[in-house]
Amino acid sequence: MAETIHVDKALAKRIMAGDEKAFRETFDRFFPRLYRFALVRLDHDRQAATEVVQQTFCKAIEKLSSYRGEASLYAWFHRICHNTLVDHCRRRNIRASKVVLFEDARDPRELLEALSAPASEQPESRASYRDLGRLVQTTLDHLPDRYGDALELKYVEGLSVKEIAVHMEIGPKAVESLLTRARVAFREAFLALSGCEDALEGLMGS
Amino acid sequence: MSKYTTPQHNEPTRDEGDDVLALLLKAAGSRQQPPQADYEQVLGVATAAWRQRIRRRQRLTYAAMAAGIASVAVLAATLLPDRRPTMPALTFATTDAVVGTAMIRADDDADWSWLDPEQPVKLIQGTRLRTGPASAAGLLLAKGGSLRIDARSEVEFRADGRVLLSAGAVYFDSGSRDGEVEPIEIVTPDSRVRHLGTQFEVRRGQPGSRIRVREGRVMISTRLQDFETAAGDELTVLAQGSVQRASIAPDDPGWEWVQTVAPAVYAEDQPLSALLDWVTRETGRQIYFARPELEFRAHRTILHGSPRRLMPMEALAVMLQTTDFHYLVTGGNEILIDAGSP
Repeated sequence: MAETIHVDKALAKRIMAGDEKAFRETFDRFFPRLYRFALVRLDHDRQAATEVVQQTFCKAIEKLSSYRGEASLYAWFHRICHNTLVDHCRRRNIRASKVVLFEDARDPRELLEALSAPASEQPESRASYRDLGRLVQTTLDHLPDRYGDALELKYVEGLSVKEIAVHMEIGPKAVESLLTRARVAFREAFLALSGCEDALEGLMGS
Repeated sequence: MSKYTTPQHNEPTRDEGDDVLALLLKAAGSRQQPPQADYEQVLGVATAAWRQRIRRRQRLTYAAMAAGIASVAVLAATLLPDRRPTMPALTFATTDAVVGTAMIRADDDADWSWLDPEQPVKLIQGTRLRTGPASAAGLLLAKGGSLRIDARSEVEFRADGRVLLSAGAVYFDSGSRDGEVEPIEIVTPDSRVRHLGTQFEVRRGQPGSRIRVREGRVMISTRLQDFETAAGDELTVLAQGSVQRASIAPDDPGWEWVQTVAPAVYAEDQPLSALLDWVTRETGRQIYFARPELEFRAHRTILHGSPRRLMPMEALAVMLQTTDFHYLVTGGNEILIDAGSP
């Protein structure tokens, strides 16, 4: 994490110094994740999601010189996107309950508890398989760069390490190392939490 | 050398956690990629904002470097004062309400910058203004009246006082029924529209510019003719200069967008009748009183509190709760005001 932040601070400096490549790479990395975050919270209204993400980038660019590396750069953009989303909903009188989904909870443990809670206890937060899928995708979106892509290529697309190496333009050994770190990061965010087995049980029964 | 070679790289052994991970990720499926059009739109705006930020930063750096030189220049200016008259740029309008996103550019050499919805901004002559999708901007004109700019529009405030509409739509409201504000002219490639004390909309589109008059009269000039048209008229100016006519009611849903950026009503210490006038003007609905004496009471009832940034009908509902008046929308176009127990 410390390494990520060190790299992110340098990246923010490059962007502020006018490095177009750094700006474009950051945009391409963050845009899909922020777009998905906004889209699912805006009832899949594409126009609204585009507007929110557009404002997010503009605000983030304006404030980028104040980024001190307290969190990863993506987490910093994500916080701005969240605030922009709240402002957007407030302006349009969209009820917050319609917007805030369970991924917004700060403690991932709570998510898993919500997933496994009996319907009578928390009917509003009982996770369906679709919710579980969304939780997995949200977890991927919150992983450091390339981790999510590597895991998706490996386990969703079914590519071999060699094929991933070609796709990501790195060596097979580097892919292995990337996958190992990605798996650990994913587990930390998802599998190492209590109540996970219940969610998986439901998944395997489908 | 055997034609069968050992692979240089072997797939790593899968552990139990791999299976669980694979199961989870397979069930979730691939993450949805944003549509290309949305990607390109945001990339374009973000890149423009980033370039503008970089240029501003560079200018600050240059400004700091030039500070020493500037101090010398100031001294010289003091010794040799420049007596040429300066022509300050005239304020054309001030932003009053922004919903969604809007950008401005002071002149052709300047960069586009975002309008802060929370801060009124003075727009000088020569400024261009663009609104984003699902957005609108409301301006208070220096010469009186309000100009509202619909989503996906672009306007330029010309030095000659005209408003050049390149895309989208604008709505002008002279602000009072007697129209005592200075003339404004909306210009499109196929028409010029001048108000004669009124509320009207001009929208660019196909097959030509569309002009809708909600109240009062406007003067229209096309390639072929100059003519006046009145409230309730909807005209489409075709490329050759000919005109197609239709009609539109003052409470037609087509006017609703203008309410989102209507100038705020300041109801504090104002009579209820002033709020009712505003609601009538913004919604196009007529006010009726259940009993004649209620109209007199509406003039004498002083309101407290101000429903800033509420839509007109919402403001009416909120402000009437502070009185014993209540209202009922009847027949879609009329608001019946009554008092006492509903």
